[in-house]
Amino acid sequence: MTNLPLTVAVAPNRLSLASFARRSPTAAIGAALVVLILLVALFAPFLAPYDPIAQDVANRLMPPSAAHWFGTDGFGRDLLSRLIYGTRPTLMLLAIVILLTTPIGIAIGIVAGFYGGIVERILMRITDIAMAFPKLVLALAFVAVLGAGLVNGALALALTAWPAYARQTRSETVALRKSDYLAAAEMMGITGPRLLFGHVLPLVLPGAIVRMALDLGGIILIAAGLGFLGLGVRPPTPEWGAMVAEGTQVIFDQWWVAATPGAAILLTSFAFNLLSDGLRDLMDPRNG
Amino acid sequence: MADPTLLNVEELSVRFPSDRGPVEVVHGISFAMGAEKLGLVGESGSGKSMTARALIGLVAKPGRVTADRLMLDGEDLTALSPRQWKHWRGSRIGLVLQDPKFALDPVMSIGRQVEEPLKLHTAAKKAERRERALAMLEAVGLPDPLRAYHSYPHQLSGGMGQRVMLAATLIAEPRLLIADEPTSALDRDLRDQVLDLMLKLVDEREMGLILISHDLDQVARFCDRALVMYRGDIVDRLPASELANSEHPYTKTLWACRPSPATFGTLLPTLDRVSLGAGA
Amino acid sequence: MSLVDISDLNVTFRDQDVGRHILRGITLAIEDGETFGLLGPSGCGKSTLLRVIAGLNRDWHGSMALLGQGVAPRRRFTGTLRREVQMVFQDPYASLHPRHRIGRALREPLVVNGLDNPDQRVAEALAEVGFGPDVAARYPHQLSGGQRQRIAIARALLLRPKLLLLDEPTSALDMSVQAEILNLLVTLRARFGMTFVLVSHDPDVIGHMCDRAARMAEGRIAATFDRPALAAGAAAAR
Repeated sequence: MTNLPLTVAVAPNRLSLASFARRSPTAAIGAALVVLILLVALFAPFLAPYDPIAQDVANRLMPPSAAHWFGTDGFGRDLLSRLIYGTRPTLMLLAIVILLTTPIGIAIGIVAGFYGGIVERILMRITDIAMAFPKLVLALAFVAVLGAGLVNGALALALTAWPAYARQTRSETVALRKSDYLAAAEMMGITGPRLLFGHVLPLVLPGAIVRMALDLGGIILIAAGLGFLGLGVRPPTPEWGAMVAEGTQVIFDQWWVAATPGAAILLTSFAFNLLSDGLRDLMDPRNG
Repeated sequence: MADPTLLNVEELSVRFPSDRGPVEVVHGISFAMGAEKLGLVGESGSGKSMTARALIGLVAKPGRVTADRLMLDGEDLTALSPRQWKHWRGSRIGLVLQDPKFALDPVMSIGRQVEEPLKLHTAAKKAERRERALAMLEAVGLPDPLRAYHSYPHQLSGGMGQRVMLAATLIAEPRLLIADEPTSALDRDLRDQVLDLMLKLVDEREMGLILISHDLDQVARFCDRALVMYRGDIVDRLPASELANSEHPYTKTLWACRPSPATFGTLLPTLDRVSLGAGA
Repeated sequence: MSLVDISDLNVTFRDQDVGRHILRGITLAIEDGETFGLLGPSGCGKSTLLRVIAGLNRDWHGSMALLGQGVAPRRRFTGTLRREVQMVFQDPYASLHPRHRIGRALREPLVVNGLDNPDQRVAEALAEVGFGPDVAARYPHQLSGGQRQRIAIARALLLRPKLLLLDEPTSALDMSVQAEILNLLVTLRARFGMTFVLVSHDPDVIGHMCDRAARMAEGRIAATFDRPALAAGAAAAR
């Protein structure tokens, strides 16, 4: 055997920011907006011109002006400051939901898909049952029993969000089970958790990430819905959904009180949807 | 040699843009052919399939095809607009691909697929189209043309599928047939049958054939002339029957490296890619 | 005793309550040190038979002994048997994990099986198939088909198998690359004294490589050939 030289050029494996933006402008715009929202949440104390819960009854329901860019609400609190602080509970809730749902969903999906048989049947029936609950109704019931609050709201959402990941991961794993590289790993004596999490997980993870990004926009809307119904964070902590609810009382005369948090919800949800659309395009193997 | 007026190619190149500048996969090749059987031989990456795609106008974007001259049947192909190309492609050049499973539309009946070119390129009426399609299906050796006419691709075996492809290609009476590895998806025993049929039909219609193949023995047995491609260049031109006796190191190794019962217990000759790369 | 001893092996595939025989009454003995060929058209069961011997398809009936050790159906291969029966797959694009670097693909089996000096063994394995150690940092998609198949061979040899199963190891490759891979296999067999079972649809490859061969058709062994028969081209004739 002659020692053949390796003539294959090494393709750049790292996805640079520039090429990311070129390959999917939507994903880049979405990512930029999401990063912006994250930064706003992180630096809220430095960005907000006023204390978000400081009341100033003399200046209640002021229209947008140089002093209050987005005006003030019924207690004279600066709306811009409340919007800025409002990013925090929203993102916190998103983070808790993701951390609770994706690992559980993926783990159940991989185990069910790989082992099949009775294991798969039991796990998938549980998944179907969890999936059958209507998201918002269950969340309402949950919060009604356990009491309003950020963590309870997140728990309620997580309870209905994980089955989608389990199902998707299971079907991807079933397709992988027949692959030669898993057969090859098995022949090397690689089994159990090492096979599932070292070999199967890296291949089903991209799909789950795209799914997660797609879900985020919807979770933001549901979170705002809980806030609107008074089941989210307790007042006076600023929360977008609750702010919209407060604004509805004066919506015909002082529209900006409801419109600005509404626009924030819309923009954030939109940003995550853009990001997920772009991610799906990038990770879909059919798009090379 | 046949009259070299059917196809005349000069300085044909195919380039693809990439992050580090354009990559040329076919480097300005030239050849001419008449109504003869030309074998285009090479391994993957040699540019043989890309050459065929360039001839028929099927190089996918963002690939770019350039040529000083591309004459088919007296017509200059480089001067044609994409729309004219499309018409030409169906009526003057036919293409048969490797796997009929991917080339045939799974939800269209065989009859309609065979008739399709007549619809596009001729004024033939429905009854006439049907009659010609049935005649063509019979000509490609399908035992029951009427049944084949009404069946769907998944109901056909690989060999039958390739015959149907041939029928759909030849019905528009092209002047040149390009067959890209037409038999490599078929079981061994079927290969010669399908090729024999293809050659018979090409001879009857006095067409030109470009047979693209990695199988030197097949080209030697079925073609008049052979062009050997390596990394985008034609490195060897010779009568197909002389493939076994070529002096070119690439052709020579390609011929000799094939295993057989006679090579049992010996090491097969392998390509010296380093010196070939330096020579090119 | 033969290295592979199979008698009356059956595999059925249940498809909506209709049992379909994929292998019917296969009886086969393969001796230590020989290269045994299995040929036949697609769908004849040759790959299924190989996967049974490999321990990948465990749903069979009959009796089988590998390396002098009885094997029961539905039982995963473990220990020595798992290490000493290895396989090279047909499609080098599908048999290497797309997200693992070559170094990991080769190192992991050594670690899992508790072999010492994994790094040195990886370097040796790469050298055996003509690579330098630098290739360990690559991903499979950065290599050509022939290079991947050499990696797959290096991986199969890591655990020093006695029986190497080859499932159409060159049918996805160019002719000149096929020659290199076949030469590599012949050289490695001589060096390590392995037994090969080679599945191929190509009688020329079988004729070049094998001491004995069997032609399969519709799940049965239709004919067997010894070396004189193979040399006379019997495998190619119908």
